[in-house]
Amino acid sequence: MFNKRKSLHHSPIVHYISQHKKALKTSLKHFAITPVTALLTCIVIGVVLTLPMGLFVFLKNIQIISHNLHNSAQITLYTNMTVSADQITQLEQTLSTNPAVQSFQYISPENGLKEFQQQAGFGDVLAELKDNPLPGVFIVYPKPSINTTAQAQGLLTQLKNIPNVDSAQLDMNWLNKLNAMVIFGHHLVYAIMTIFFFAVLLIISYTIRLNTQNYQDEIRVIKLLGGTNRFIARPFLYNGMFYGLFGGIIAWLLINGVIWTLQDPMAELTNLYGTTFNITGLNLHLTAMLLGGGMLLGYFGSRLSVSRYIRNVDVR
Amino acid sequence: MAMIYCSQLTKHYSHTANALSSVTFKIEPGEMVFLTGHSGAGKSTLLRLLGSLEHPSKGDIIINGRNINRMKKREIPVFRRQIGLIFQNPELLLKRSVFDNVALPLVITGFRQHEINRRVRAALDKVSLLGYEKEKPENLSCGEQQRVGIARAIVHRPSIILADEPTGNLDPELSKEIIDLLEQFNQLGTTLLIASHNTHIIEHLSYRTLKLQTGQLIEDAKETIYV
Repeated sequence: MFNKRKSLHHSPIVHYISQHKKALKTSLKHFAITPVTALLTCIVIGVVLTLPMGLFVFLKNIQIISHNLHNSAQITLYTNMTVSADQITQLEQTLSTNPAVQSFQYISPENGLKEFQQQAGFGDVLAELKDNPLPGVFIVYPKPSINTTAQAQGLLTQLKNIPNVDSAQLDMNWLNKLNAMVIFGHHLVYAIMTIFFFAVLLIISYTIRLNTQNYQDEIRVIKLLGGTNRFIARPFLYNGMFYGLFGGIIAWLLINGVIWTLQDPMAELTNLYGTTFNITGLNLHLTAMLLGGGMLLGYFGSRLSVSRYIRNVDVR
Repeated sequence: MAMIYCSQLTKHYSHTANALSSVTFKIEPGEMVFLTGHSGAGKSTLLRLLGSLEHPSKGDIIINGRNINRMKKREIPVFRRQIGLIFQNPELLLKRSVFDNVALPLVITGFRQHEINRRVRAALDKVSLLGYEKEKPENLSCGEQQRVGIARAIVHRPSIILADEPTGNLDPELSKEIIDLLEQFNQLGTTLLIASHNTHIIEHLSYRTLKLQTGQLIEDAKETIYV
């Protein structure tokens, strides 16, 4: 008959998980021992993470605005001076059957002149003119699917070639400038992000280094008793990850706090222009990026200092 | 097969004379051997080499059939877990409880929690410290701290215990207690090598003695080696 005996050791997988659980607990204990210092460090990391991430969110909103502006781009078509009423009707038919055109508005030379007289304040001068110098104008609003400069340019060329259209104009210049600025802003933010992430890496690395120095005796004794460098390093690596995670949470709170305070003034401002715009904050993807990135930075930051330090602890 | 076999063991540090010179000896399983000599004779160096805390400059150390000089770096911690180390300064974690200190070798090795609880209590019982589990070592006397160190060295039931001046900081009465305790482990089959310069204790015991002088082995048991 076999004597069923329970193993004294964990199986390798259970041992691995159990070691990680213990390291996790030890790491949390490190926080509990010096809560104020840990909190201050997390706040510093949070603030450092807030700046690049906040800039990223700002740019994202600018991008949305720029995209909306693209959608509101319009093309102005100037008809020949000699165009007849039938030809205008034909032009209207051509435009209404164009799949890229959302809507259009026709301003006859007479209406154009009236508007011009009212707006420019040259009423008397214009009244002395024998003939109306203004052509008929079609203001064409492209469909929202026409949202890139290239597509808008394509439509412009197409409309320019319609018979009785003298010239066509698409004012994309300032939009292009805005786009260029957004692209430049992106590059700038990535550069700033790199610098600040490097700063987080160093802050965590330095903090963990101080921690390891505080535990120097413990590290030496564990090494004496046969603890591997990995076993010793594990709680410190978790510590670094927690610093990154808590820093990320603080950054998330700060960014969303700022957005929350800006929502009302922004709503008031956009109302004045007869439109609405909601500031976009950190969505799930960005939140995961912020917290995950923070943890990764924490891991690498602590690894940077811990591995070498533990290797060099003298057990003699 | 010898439990410990040292062959032509030499250790020299830079700018100093040899700490150990061509030391050769053999310890059989279950033996209890004392290592004596004046301060600086090389006792601690020899124990550090045996515990793989340092590498020899020359020679071989074979413990339980394995040449520890040829071990890979990652194998050394595993080897250390198989021996019990007792130090003059017990090397305890003063901020951790007695329980945590004694449990440390078991935690490192990956024992189950209920087994850790059982073994720690048994080890503390052996050194008469049962009931001190929650105490911090800093609140204990030197003798008690040394006994915690011994409990930690035996908790994982090693086949070899290396003790470096385990009675160094203790008065004669406590020293006797500690030696009695080590004798008990020896009677259970553990091989012990105890470094001590306390000749008063050793001369009353009939164990084999290795005597070192300026890094050389000059006496093995009752046999004098002429260097």
